[in-house]
Amino acid sequence: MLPTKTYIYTRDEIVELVRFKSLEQGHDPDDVFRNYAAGDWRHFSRLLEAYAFCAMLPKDDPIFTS
Amino acid sequence: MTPSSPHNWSSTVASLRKASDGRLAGGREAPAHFERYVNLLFRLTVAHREAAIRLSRLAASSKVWALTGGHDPGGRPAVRLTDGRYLRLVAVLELDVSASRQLRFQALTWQYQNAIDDDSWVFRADYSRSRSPAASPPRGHLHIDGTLRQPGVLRPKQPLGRVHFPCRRPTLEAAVVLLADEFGVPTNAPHEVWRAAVAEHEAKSARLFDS
Repeated sequence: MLPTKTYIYTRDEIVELVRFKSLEQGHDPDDVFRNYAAGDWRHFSRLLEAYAFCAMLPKDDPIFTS
Repeated sequence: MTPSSPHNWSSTVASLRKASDGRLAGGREAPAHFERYVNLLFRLTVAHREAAIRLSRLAASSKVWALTGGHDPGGRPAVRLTDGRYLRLVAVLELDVSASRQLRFQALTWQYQNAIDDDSWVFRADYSRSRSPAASPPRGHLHIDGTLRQPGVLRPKQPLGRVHFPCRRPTLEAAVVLLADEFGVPTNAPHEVWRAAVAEHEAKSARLFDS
């Protein structure tokens, strides 16, 4: 087992990671942001990495309402 | 694998105990202790020597963390196992301000799969704290990819893999035991060493789930 790496991201890097992880799973990032904000974590297992990054953002981040 | 002496495992077990206590103590250091705990738990048990995990958070906040398999943020979140297969692992952790900044799982998934980047999965556990305790499917549940021998049991066109078998708290220790004892995934430490460590810490890990 290798030593664990720790990553600390800016807000914009987090948003890009949500986009990347959503597209990687074949989902529209805008839908993922919208569903997360609505508390609807659909496709839970496949998209949990994307939702994890969403959870790091403040609930009032403009990405959830734009 | 490089054979390790009993002394080395004693040291690992002691470090595991310290990390376990730290993750349960809460506060800003708890996520780092949790990361250390998971690393040591897998090191003792089913992790390949090149297996890896990573911890991520937003710079402006240290309230929510993600612990995922692998080192590469652009890669698949999977931990390489000693049997050549993978455990896909994503955990969302939160310092619960309503509970003295105790560390809690907000969500968790772990999935045993044949390859790193396809859908060849065997079983999976999911947990979502935000789901109502009375919700269906339940907060914690297990999926198994397979077929039933008895026909007509499931609803038409419903595969077994979509059935939610309730499991209240799908701990990482449960994943390790399932892999090692039921699926024969080789462990790094001898059985009596890793099994005692898991037994010592699994009940404590329940505190990381719904309070």
